[in-house]
Amino acid sequence: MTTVTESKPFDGDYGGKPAWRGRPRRRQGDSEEERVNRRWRSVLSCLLLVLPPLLAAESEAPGQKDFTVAPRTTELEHVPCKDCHQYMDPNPEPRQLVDSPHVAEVRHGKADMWCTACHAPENHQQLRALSGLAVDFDDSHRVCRDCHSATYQDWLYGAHGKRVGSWQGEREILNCTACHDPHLNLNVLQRRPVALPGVRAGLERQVHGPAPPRRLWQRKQQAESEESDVTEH
Amino acid sequence: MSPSTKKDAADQAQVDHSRRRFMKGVGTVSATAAGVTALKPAWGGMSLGDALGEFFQDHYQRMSPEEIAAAVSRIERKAKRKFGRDIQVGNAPPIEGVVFGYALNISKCKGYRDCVSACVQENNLGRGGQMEYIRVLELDKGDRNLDHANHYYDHMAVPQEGKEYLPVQCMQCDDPPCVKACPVDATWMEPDGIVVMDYDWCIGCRYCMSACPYSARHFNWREPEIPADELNSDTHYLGNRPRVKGVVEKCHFCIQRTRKGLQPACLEACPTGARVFGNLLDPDSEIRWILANKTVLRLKEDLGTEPKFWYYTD
Repeated sequence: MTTVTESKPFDGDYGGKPAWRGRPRRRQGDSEEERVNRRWRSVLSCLLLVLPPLLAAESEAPGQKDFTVAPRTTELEHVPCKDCHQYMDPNPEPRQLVDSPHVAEVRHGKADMWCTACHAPENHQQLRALSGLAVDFDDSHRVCRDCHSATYQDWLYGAHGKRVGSWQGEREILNCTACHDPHLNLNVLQRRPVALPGVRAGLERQVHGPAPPRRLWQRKQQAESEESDVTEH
Repeated sequence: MSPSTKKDAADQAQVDHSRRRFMKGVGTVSATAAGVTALKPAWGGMSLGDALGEFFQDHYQRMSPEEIAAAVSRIERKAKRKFGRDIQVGNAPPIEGVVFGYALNISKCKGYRDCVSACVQENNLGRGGQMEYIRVLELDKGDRNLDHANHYYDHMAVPQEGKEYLPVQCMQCDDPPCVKACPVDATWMEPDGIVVMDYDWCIGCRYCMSACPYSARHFNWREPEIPADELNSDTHYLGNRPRVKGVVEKCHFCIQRTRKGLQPACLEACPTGARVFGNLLDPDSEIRWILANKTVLRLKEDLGTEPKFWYYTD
């Protein structure tokens, strides 16, 4: 409990001792119990200051609901990496890879990056963030966020990326690498659209040739004359 | 009068317009009809009880739970006759404290139309382009005039250079003009914000279609043609149960899925993650974060229909 005291203007009197020098001294007349209480209070207030940032470091962002990320390791082809890479020394020199079972070159960004920017050379089963934090393949967003912070923020709160399963309850979202191949440029895939909308009978747009007559009987007459043309020839 | 089996040959040959002859004919016809009835039930293949029950079926909101259960089993029997398959017609009530909202990232939509085909399959819409709830509009980049939009685009590859795509569907307005227009109250807004239809109560006047500023309502001009093996058997009374010719229908946020906690079929099918669905009353939901932190817009907002469907950009 803090007690509210009336503040008075500072009169330059520290009471004989400079107030800035260290912790409050033992006050004359304080009992042993009060001193212990005061000490505990200061320890607790220190803890209250230090603990929230420590806990927040794990829960990612303030006000953010917990979420799980759909696993990626199960979908990777060339795992475990160490099957091959235990026989190779990490080479930090950017180059074109020959006979590589995975991507031959890194085109991420402006193609000025190399594998070891994200992959940890000392442990092939892990990624490495800029801070040196070792990151599992399932948590690759911890690497991506180092550079793509704005997109990461959108992803964290649900404006980017995709939620799977239910709209309520625990939030399960897809990882960055579920959609984006980090080795390539982020070009958008072009493909043929599906499900061409139907047109109601009679409203078909004439793509080739002149438009059909407006009246139904005129269309019928035209169809009949075309038929007779075909039979004559 | 019963038809006589013994027939006079002379009577047959002679053209006779007498009353006796007419009554004889009537008797023959009714006897034939009775014979057919004995072989196959009348009333369009359903039992007399079902036919009467369907005819006297009340409005969904006025029916007691027992009446709804009876209506549900009637619908299931009807689907069994038509498609030869067992379907489950659900009747899940709205979830307490939930109002559904939708957000769509237009910078992510690439016009693949996967949402359209998923919607057709999920909601038992007539195949072969008979009806789609979702239209993906193609616009020139920077063009904001929806009159210039084309949803019949059929390129070999999308997204096309210099084009952008804008999917439109039912906006689930909070002040829906279609509900005001309906003369028989066949459409209304549920407590979870979904504007639903009682297909059995609809008289097919299509006033709601002309009242809707988004062209989000669709009329069954003919019997929906659905291959029996593609019929989605998980249905909802106010949602995707099989419809008939002559009624209006609309997007219902996949009520059969979302009231169970699943996400709408269009969202699940979207390959780019452009779609976000959630509870507007939950301050921690994704959609609330988007509304608070992104630049959002609604179509034809000036009409004051308060759509619960927002568009946003990256």
